[in-house]
Amino acid sequence: MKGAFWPMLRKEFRQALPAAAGIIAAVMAWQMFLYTRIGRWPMDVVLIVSALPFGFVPLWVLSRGLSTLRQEWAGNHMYLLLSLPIPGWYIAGAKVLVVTVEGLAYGVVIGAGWLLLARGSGGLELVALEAVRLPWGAIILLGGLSLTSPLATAVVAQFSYVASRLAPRLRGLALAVLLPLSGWFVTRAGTVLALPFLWLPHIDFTVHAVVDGVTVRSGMALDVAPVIGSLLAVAALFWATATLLERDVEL
Amino acid sequence: MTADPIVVLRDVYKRFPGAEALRGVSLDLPAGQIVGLLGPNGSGKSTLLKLMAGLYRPSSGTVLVGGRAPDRRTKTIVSYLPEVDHLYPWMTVQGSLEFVRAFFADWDDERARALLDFMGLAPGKKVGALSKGMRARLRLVLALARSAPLVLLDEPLSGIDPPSRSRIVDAILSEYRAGRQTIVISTHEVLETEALFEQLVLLESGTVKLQGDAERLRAEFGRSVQGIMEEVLA
Repeated sequence: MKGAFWPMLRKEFRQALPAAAGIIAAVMAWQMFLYTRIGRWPMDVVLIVSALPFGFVPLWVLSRGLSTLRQEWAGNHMYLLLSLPIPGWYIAGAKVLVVTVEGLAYGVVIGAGWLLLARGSGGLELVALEAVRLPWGAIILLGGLSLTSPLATAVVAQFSYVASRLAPRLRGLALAVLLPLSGWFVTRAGTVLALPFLWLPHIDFTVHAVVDGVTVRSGMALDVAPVIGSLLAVAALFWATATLLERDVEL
Repeated sequence: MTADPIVVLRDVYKRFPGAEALRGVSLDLPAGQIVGLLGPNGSGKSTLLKLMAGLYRPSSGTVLVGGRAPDRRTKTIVSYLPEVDHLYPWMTVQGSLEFVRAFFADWDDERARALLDFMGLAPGKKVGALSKGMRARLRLVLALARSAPLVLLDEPLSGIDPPSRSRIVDAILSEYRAGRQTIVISTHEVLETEALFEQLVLLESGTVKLQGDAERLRAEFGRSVQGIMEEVLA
């Protein structure tokens, strides 16, 4: 039914909100605690510990990609979702979107906390972040990359879970096999699908960074083709997930 | 059988690992009647309804709903009430109604409101805070608030307290659009529902043991539906 994606998306956001709010509150509490450690702990320790939650974001996105679907089956809500006259991508898309936004939100909160700590400590020069200058093209591409990463993780998790539901037995084992396999697929297919886009120009730029008061210039080049290739591979996997959900998967 | 069948099954098998839920079921369910799908636990009633609802696919054989294999489009004409609690406990009663309403063009707001009142459900109450009987009532409201040509009710009375049972039966009777709607009710408890049925299908161990017009079968056997069931499945 036309326009029925929004109620599905709203439902997903509402469902994800309590856990997401809890995690964001926990991260903020952790950053505030670290703020009180400025001057008591060595500054590089504070900054490193503050950035630690970054390492958990991909794992969290992966786990959420799986659990958003698992909880639908566990709570018998799939009876409702699969009886709706909607394309499979409504269900898959709403979940992927919410998990991606969650991943980005955690990244932003952790990053913002880290920056505030760095500012508060006067240690910003140490990391030279303020002095780094990037052209707009590179910023957009890096932004795209940071979006692609949680998106790809969520889609890989979702495809693996849905495909594992097709196994009549040993679904846990099927999932354990499918997860690395679909991750490998996205990487390989991304490389192959990038080939037709190799003609696209690189985004060349120079990074001006101030490290310990000395300006360091380094030339860098970002390839657009791998990003497009990866996005196409993720789109293919997403399409497969949506098709399985709509046509093949059972309760 | 005069009306065109709304559901056609031909030699349908459904296998699960280590079990065969349906074994060569062939059926024509006439449009515009209330069909009682009867049989003991494990006879394949729920599997049959899930096949019609498009939630299961047959291992072999043909299932047609409204003339086509169950898919996204047939789901627009099917209203399915599962035997399990499938609603989100964090949603309110009103929120659940609004969520389901968004996906179906045949949703009838006035009917939904009337059913809510009749069932004594408070719109603002959380689904998770409702008793089992009240949740069963809510599931029935969701299934009957639509003008779907095919309504599939899987064990609507199972595990429900007596006051809720009679409310549910009354609601099915009052909301049934005779001639325009087919209601298939699966149950192994026929005492409360016996009077509803116009057609009967008796299943045992995944096969159809008996099918036909309820009145004709009552006359033929000289017994109630409960009695027919006991005799055929003995």
